[in-house]
Amino acid sequence: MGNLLEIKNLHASVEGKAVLKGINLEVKAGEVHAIMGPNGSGKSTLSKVIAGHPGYEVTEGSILYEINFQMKDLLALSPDERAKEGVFLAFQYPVEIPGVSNFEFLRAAFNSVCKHHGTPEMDEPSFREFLRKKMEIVNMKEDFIERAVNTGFSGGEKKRNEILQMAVLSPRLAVLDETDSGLDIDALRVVADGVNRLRSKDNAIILITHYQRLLDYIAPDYVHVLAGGRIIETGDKTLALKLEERGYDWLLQN
Amino acid sequence: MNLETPVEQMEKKGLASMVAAYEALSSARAGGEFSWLDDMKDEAFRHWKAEGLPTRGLERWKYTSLEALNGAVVELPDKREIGEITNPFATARFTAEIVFVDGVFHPAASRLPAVEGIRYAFLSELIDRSRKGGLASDQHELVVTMRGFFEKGETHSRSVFASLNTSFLQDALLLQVDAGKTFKDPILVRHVTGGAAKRESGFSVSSPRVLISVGRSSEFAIVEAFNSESEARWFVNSVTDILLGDAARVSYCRVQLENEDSLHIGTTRIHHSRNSYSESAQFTFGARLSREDLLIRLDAEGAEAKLSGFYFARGQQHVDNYTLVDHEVPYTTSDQIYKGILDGESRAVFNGHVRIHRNAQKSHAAQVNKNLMLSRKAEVDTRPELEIDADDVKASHGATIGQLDPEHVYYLQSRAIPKHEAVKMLARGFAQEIAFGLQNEAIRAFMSGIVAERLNGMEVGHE
Repeated sequence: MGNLLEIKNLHASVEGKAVLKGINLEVKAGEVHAIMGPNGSGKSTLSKVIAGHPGYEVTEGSILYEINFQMKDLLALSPDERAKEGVFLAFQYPVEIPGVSNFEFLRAAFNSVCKHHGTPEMDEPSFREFLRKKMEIVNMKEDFIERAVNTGFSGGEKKRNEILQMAVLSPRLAVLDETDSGLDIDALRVVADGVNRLRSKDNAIILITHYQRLLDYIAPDYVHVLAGGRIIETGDKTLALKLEERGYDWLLQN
Repeated sequence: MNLETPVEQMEKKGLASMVAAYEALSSARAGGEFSWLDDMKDEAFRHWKAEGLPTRGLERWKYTSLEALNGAVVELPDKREIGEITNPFATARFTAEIVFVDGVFHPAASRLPAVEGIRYAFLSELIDRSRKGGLASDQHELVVTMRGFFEKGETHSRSVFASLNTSFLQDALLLQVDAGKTFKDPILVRHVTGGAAKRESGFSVSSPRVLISVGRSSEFAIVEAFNSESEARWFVNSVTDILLGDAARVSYCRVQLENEDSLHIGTTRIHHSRNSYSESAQFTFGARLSREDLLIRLDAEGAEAKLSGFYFARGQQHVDNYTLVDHEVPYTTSDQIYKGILDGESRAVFNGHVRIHRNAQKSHAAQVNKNLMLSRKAEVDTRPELEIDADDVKASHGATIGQLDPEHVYYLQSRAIPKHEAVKMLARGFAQEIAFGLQNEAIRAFMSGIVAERLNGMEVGHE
């Protein structure tokens, strides 16, 4: 099977400061990749660049993404076009949007994807039904539908909301940026269960995390260590255990 | 020493055409049982003639120029055949719908079911009946109430525009709610202008006057909507007085959707009693220039006022909101939030003035104004003013002016929502905080529908 994502020699900077310094990564459908690494190594920058955040500038290299069996230049697409093609970023710090209900927001997102692919959009009652089923995946209460997006949500609710959005949009490539941070063990389990239920042979997941803990629940196929803007080590899930035990220093010293 | 003749002064103050119009009217006096009204109109005439139009030298008019009205030819609407009046609103949830066309009650377009506990009276009808053979005693009573109301308005506060309204009004609505009645479903009063009157310059004048009295311990809800039937230029000068009995509660909402050549001046005065509660909301979308004065006196203990507003201005529109809340006695509360979205080269003014008088201990006042700028060329002047003469009070105020947060736009974009849709959705969210905050459920649904429709219709793309 061909690649879903090909990152080649990616260099990127934020406000003129180089953060990514030559990332290479290939991801196939059905795979789960974990990216770990010390603070400031560029993990979040990588996720933002994949999802097209306007504050990040790619200075060198490329990101190719498979659309209709062809590898296309992902960087040429606007953030919403990427999302329509199945790229999804679960935010480390989801944004609060007062005045816009979750229902309105999720339906607009969902229908925008439908419209792009020429499939029929959903009317309010059918979307409500559809949404209820998706909400079960992350254990969301009914009143959540009418609440404003992330406004007044607890940390755990915000993260669950990200996974709910993922469930609604069924992305082909999901990047979860520290979705486990700030979660207690019960919330972590809910989020991890949600992700596992959404995992399939047709989609790929990139998990960005500080902690091995998440990987107890979501077993990765690959673990990469990102440091200083480069991937310095790649292994299977045992690498994460090793990192948990020994920290990053033994890798950085090499 | 002033060497100008009175006429020159008048021209300078821009009301010469008004003076001529009023003098021409003097033949059409109500007379008889309504001679008090004629006197009141004359008295109002003397007031505005002496005062002239407010100029920008006045603190309260610092950011709004009435140049458009200055020296403009102003005419009263002709008596004309009024055709079908369209209804642009979803009005199923309103108990009654009262339509005024060019400031005169229009029975054919109105829906006025008899509701126990609510009385409606129309000045034009009462005058007509009294001429045709006298009034019945209950009608006479309504005239007395109306008169008392007019006088009450004068003592609450006087302004040039309120006086102009009194001089030129051709009709007035009195809505009286008996004591101890609760009405959750609102009444809609629609003020429609337009029809056949069309002019190249100057304005036709419409002077809507609404008097609402809510009896002791009653609860009432009302929406006043202003819209145009055509592109004709109107000067709509509306005055609404609301009188609340002890422990009465009112939800009052105004929405102005007039055409963008018109000039709209609105004055709302709310008279409180002990433990009474008013919720007032002002939504401005229309008119080239609009100014809304919301004047609230909290002169009875336990009185509470909640004020909210939303304005959306684009192109060359200018929208000015002035609120004055007087805390005159202890244990009074006011809470206000006004929000605005500005696009194009529009301008907005918010001047919220809260006065806590020396005697008004234990009062609470909060005020906030937030503005969202969608264009670099738009401008807003915001002045939250707090004047406190008592020492044991809680008061806060604040104002913000900002642009859409790019992180918010990006968040929506990352969820497949195109940028222009994201901007609209965020603007709508910003606005809906006001509509969703309305306490009357039917008014909330009505207004959030209008806000959504208006903001969805906007064109985005200005940087």
